[in-house]
Amino acid sequence: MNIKNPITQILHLFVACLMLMCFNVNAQTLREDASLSDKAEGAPGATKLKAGSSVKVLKRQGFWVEVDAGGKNGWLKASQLNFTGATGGPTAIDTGRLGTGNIVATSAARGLSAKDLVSGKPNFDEVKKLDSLSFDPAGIEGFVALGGVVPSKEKIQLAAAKPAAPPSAASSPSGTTPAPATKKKDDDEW
Amino acid sequence: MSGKNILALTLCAVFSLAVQAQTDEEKVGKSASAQVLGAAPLIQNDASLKYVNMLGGSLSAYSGAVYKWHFGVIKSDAINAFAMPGGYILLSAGLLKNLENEDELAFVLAHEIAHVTRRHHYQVVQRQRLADQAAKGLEAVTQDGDTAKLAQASGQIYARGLDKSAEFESDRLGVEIMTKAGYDPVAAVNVLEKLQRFKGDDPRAELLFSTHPSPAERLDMLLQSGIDKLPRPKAKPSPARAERFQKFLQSI
Repeated sequence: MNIKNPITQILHLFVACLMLMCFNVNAQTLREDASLSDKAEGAPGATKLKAGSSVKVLKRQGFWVEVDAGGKNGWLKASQLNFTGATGGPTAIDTGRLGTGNIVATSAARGLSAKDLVSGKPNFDEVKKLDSLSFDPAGIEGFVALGGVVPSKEKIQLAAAKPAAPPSAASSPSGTTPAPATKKKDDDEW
Repeated sequence: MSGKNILALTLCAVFSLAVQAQTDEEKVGKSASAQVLGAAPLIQNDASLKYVNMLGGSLSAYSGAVYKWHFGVIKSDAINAFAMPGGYILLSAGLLKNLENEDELAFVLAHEIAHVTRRHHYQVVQRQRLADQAAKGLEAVTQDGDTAKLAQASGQIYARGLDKSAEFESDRLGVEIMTKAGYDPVAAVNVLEKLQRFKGDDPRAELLFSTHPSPAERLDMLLQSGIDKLPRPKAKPSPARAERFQKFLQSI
């Protein structure tokens, strides 16, 4: 097909971009059997999903995610999903919340390479400057108060988790074949 | 001179010596900092550096360890942060520009604070010293006064990165520190989500990705550690908190 009209070309490009956006979905698998809730932090509803089912994450709210499970939308706890084993799209936990335009690869920008760190010359003059930087303990209270930061009085402790097993090669369609799930003791608590 | 006065003077002298004395961790930390700063110097904005030190200082109170903390921001597009032994922490301007609020910055700082308090890099240096001693049968080069050589050896450690387990541990302890301090643990998820948006071949994030587990893996580990069961702050962040963070962001 020979497209000469520039407007048609732009239109085709636009459609192609739209299609690309549609296919760039984020599919995750369920760690455990779960029921969809009708809202974030809601009670489990009637739609049940098997461990290993594949869902598409639509958005995240706090520690909850809205998912599309084979055409049925609902909410799950983020901890019920396996993000490492995401099967669709390069950005496993990119839920689209941030839009798509703020991170653009550019050849002008460069990072610190391993080579910079290994073969660079140490700068001890800059260390003297770093050494002079610190905080005034007397000012901390005011800084915290101004920011409205209220220290937690509750016991805060996380348990060390074991790294996830490698994801299974193929994910099953929603709710069909349960994959072996590494189930943790407290995961069923709501 | 009375006995009381002598005791007071002695205590002052001991305290002063304790404050002045440079620990081996600090010596290693300075050399490692010199190597990173050789690649990218500090930004020159006093107000920004003061802000990041105040925030870092307020978080360090919940780390359970006493160090002379020094927080700096380096002029670099890189998406990275470095924790050096002895309490030296450097954040890249590139990473900071991708953050949205103070709570997210609190997670980044707390993660680095945890690396220091768990002595992750210092232990690698110590192991290297022992290996050097065993290989050479004499005082290892990294143990003598040659800070330049120590800096170069440190550079290799930062280029290689730590074990995954050390990164997971710093994520976990970092979340604990920031939550105890009063920041929202959800910010840790936000930061990991932002990191995941960078591609592995993006020169800004290349070193971060080659030295850290994937952000998705880190998120999974935090979720399985029970981050979603932690209490979230009841009050919304004050306008002053948002304002000072935006001011900081604009100045780097």
